[in-house]
Amino acid sequence: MVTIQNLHFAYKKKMVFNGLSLSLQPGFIYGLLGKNGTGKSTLLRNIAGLLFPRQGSIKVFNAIPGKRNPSFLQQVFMVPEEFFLPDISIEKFVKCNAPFYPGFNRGQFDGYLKEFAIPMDHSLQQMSYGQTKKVLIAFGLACNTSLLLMDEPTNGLDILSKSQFRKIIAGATDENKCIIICTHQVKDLENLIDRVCIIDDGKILFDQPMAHITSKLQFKISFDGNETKNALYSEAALQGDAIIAPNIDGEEGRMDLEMLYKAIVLNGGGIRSVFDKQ
Amino acid sequence: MAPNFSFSRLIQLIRKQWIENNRLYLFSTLALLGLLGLGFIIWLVASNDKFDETNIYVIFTLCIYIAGTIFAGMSFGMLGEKRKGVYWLGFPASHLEKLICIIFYNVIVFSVVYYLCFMLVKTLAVAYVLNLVAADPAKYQFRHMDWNSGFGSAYAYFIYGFYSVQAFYLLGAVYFSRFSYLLTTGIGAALFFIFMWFCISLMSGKLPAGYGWGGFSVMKYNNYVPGPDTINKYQLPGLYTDSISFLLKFIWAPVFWVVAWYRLKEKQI
Repeated sequence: MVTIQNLHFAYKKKMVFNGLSLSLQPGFIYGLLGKNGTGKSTLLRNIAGLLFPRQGSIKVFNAIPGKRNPSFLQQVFMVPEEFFLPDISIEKFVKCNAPFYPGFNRGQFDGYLKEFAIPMDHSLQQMSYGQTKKVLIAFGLACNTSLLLMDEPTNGLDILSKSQFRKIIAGATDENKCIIICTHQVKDLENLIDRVCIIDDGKILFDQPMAHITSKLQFKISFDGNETKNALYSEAALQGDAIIAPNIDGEEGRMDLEMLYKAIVLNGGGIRSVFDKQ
Repeated sequence: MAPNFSFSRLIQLIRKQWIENNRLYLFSTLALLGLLGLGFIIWLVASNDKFDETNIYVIFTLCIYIAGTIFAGMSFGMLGEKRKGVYWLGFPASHLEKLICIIFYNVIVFSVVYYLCFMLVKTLAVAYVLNLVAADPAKYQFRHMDWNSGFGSAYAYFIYGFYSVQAFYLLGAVYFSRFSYLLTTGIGAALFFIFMWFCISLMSGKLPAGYGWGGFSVMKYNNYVPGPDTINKYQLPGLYTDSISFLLKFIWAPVFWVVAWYRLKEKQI
């Protein structure tokens, strides 16, 4: 669905991507992680056709996003971190925007709004940031686009709303839809993401499905100094050490996405070597 | 597969633009009425009881240029702000449809609204003046515009020129994300001066002695005694001069729109 090959992109002289390649398939929720300024939002905007590669290619549904053809735009919805909605009521917003998305489902939209407890009678500008974000998320999901891009979707959402968001996203996925979520709030989306992509230094540092990660790595608390010493990654916990070690037993356990991210960034070679072994 | 241009999608886009911006358009109309009202008040006060209709059309021309260029300069304002630009550029309509929608509001809606506002204010002002003239014809006078000379004869060119200038400001609004009105005005002024300098150089310095320009023709002055041999006139065939004249009057707006379309396709947010 999304094929990125040898992507080079820069803002004037500041190089962001230096030969990034990535392939994203429908039916998955991708978590895109990375340090501040590594280009997560930039990658989303390249995929959405808002930015153009300097070199390399991006194909989404076999179309070039940069051409921004209506047939492409109808199948892509982006929920940016900083978003704009006009100062009109929700009803008018739906009336003037929904006809442009052939897959829009009014019943789904109303259901999501009810789930998020959004009042229908306020204008969009009268709502709080969190409320308007929920309206935008609800609308984006109800458009039923094949590709949904979300940049920090849980920013500004209260604790209850984050839980509602997870529930709604989990229910919205199907085999034809691809959802890409950029986030720093890994704890919010740990149980939702199917595949983890970590960007660093203009390239993909790590790209694996969650199931594969838990089959290859073990996340646990260790009180054994030797075990900690030989771990792929370790950090002090309240009691003992939280470590990541190769999953020798083959038993799938819990996953700590935040710790995995730190491990990839600090000991990427060690972690990747586990996956390189067959 | 959705085509790149769909008339029904264009209509929906125009409707969407209205729903999202009707409050702005309403306040802009009120501001326009205020501007025109101010212009007419100045006309009434400055005329010193001798009212000339020509000045009404000067006000019309001045105000349409000011209001029209400001409105055009604001038309792509959403491209100057990242979050609005993402909303607008990412919307499922083609660049051509988005541009035509903007042109529709600038050229057609603005022109109709401006004309209606102008007629409203003009009708009130002229009715007031005619009442004064009827009450005291010795003191008050109202002279109608002469459409065959002076400003009247050039009036149509000012109107053609307005749509070209408006299209230029639309192009500037696409090109410049920030301070587009100021930058477009600066560049427009610079281009205008270069053009005038070129015309003056061409008119004054490039022909040998005894030759002169007469519109699109070159005149050779044989002697100063009026008669059939006074002047030899060299000119292009009428078809060419008419075509060049037509292009110079009407080509600018479409050229700027096409350039704006290409620039819109290149826009990145």
